[in-house]
Amino acid sequence: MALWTLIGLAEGTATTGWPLKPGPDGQEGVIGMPRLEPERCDTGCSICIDVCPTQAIALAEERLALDYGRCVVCHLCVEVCPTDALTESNNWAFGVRARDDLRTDTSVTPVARPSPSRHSFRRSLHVRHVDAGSCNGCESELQALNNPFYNLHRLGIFFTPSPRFADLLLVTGPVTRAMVEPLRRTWEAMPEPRWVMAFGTCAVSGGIAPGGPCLSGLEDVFPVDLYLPGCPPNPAAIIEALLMFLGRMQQRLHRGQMNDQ
Amino acid sequence: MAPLVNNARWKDVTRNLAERDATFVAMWGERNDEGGNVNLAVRHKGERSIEIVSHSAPDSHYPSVGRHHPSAILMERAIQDVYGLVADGLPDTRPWLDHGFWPHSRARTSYNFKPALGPGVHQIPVGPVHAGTIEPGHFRFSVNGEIIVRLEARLGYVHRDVLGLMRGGAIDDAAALVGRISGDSTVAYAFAFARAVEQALGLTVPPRASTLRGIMAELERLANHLGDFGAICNDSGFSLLNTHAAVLRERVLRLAALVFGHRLMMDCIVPGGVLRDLNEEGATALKSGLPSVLVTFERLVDLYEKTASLQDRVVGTGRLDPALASLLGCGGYVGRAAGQDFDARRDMPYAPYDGIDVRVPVLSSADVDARVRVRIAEIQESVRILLCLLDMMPKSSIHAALPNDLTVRSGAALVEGFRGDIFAFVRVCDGRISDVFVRDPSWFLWPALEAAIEGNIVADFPLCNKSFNAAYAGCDL
Ligand code: SF4
Repeated sequence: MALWTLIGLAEGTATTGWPLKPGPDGQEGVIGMPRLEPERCDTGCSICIDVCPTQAIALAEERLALDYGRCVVCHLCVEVCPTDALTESNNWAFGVRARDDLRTDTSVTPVARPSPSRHSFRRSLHVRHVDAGSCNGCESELQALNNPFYNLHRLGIFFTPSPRFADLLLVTGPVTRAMVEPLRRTWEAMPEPRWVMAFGTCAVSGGIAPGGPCLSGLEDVFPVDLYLPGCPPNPAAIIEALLMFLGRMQQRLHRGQMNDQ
Repeated sequence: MAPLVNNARWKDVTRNLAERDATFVAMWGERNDEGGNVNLAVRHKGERSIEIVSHSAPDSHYPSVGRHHPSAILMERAIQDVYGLVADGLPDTRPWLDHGFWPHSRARTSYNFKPALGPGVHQIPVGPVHAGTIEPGHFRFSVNGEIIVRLEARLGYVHRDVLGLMRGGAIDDAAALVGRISGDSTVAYAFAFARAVEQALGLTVPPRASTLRGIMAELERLANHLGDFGAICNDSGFSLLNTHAAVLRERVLRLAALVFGHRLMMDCIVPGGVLRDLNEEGATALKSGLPSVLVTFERLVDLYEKTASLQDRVVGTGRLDPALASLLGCGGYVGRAAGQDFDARRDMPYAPYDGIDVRVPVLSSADVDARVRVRIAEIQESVRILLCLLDMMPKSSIHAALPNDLTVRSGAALVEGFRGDIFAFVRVCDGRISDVFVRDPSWFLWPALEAAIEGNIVADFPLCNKSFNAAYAGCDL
């Protein structure tokens, strides 16, 4: 064991300084949500609308509009678009407080639920995760948050084994009917004030499987305070979203547009 | 290849299964105007192909396979829930995927768990919401003191009807959906589905695409095995190894992102080929990154073997009777740790593995330790295969267009995922999916886990469970 302490010391710290200090976030190469530039669209072609498996693309007042809350980042639309109206991007920090901020359609005005009072939890957060029908891709990335690279604990954010001491209910999956009751009971077991997060495209909008044995996302059960689409959201996107929720980072997506674009 | 309705042949095949001359692969139903059909896929002893035979279900009834062969029981229960086709003679007719919340639900009463009676026996219900960041499912333990007398898993909480969503859709859309049945095996699912479509359409994939598929599949296996290795040690109370294994897993995921644009490599494999090519920098990153992962991993293995307190927890724990593993048709590390010498990459070879000699570790002690050791050997083997594939890297295009075919055609494929072999069947017509089924290895791992845990103490359940690591989403579909 002593040897392992030495090996650990010799290898140095794996943990990233990001986002507290500038530096790499560890997502080099990750392809993000498609970028939509409707003005480049040659009207009359609607291949992207047909090809999108989750109906994320639609025409709004004869202009292409994208709902990132539905996008599963499959890139089928990018593959087929003949005019580069839809292109690849590296944008994945899509955590938002208001659902409509995920829509490029500007005719809607995003309204977020009231901000959490900072008094309740200061800068720290305890999160209870419930899988309500995900494919386990989201779980895979949530588990990665505890590896030494991201080391979520350093940011004062903890996953709890019980809802009894959780502030935020983080839900993955489109919400299968069989999980509605367990989900409700988990929420009821949480102390107030409590908040709810729709994690991953399925929880935001139903994703690949709205309807049938599933609901169309978490909004069908609770009012949602925080949305993070992605399929699955990568660890850095999760960290950004949680810190944004705590008021420790800025929301980067507004009305479907990235700030730094 | 098209499954033909042949009730007489069905009988023969069922007899082959009962006499253990064939391994059960999958069973699924389909509705039609006359009621429906049920399809059965088996692998005959010593053969390198899969036979699919159908039985008609004119008044929604067909003869049960499960009454002769236990592997079929869960699937027949699921077929009744989803397609309303009833297996006559099925020994267990309780609903499986159906929890009573669908319009056509047949589950009207609460679930009857199998009783375990005796002085001092009591029950511990666990789930569907668990303490960790994992999938939902319910476990009913009947225990006597600390000893587990019986475990029953009740799944179906994450049934989304993905197959139903795929039917009638375009092939590309279906490919996106199939990669989201079980996210940790997205590459293997997409690979199996793509091969089934290509077989149906008689399409040959460019060699570079096949090699890239192999690279993706091995990266996925590597990442998952590394994660499991750490998680099993963690559940044995040895978190140091978990931390170090998690670092390695993250390094593999980052390599995948760097090279293919997605940490889990979702949507990279499509029917016809792959969407992401490997450039020079990517190849260099893999060639230098992978051996260094292996160097660190060897040190972890050494520590695993030399830590007596850890060995004490894993050796002899959760032993699965090899005869049962063979009967159930368990594949992957669970089967191979229990003497089942099968790996689709070697025994039903497909590109790119047909050009590589795949070494398959087989052990017989069938405990948690054996399942860890099979994973260790497969991690080492995966890195070897990866380096081999990287050296091959043929030059060609990476995608071939799908021919537009108006006739009805079907195809099937077996692909070795990290948990075991994944079976995919499709019927396509005019670029659309008319029928599809994908079978996760977990269908056979859950019953095996129930059996293996008997006689162990409750505190060893997480450890045993993790060593099986059966998927919920994969078989809830
Ligand atoms: S990338 Fe998003 S918007 Fe484009 S086709 Fe896929 S799901 Fe639809």
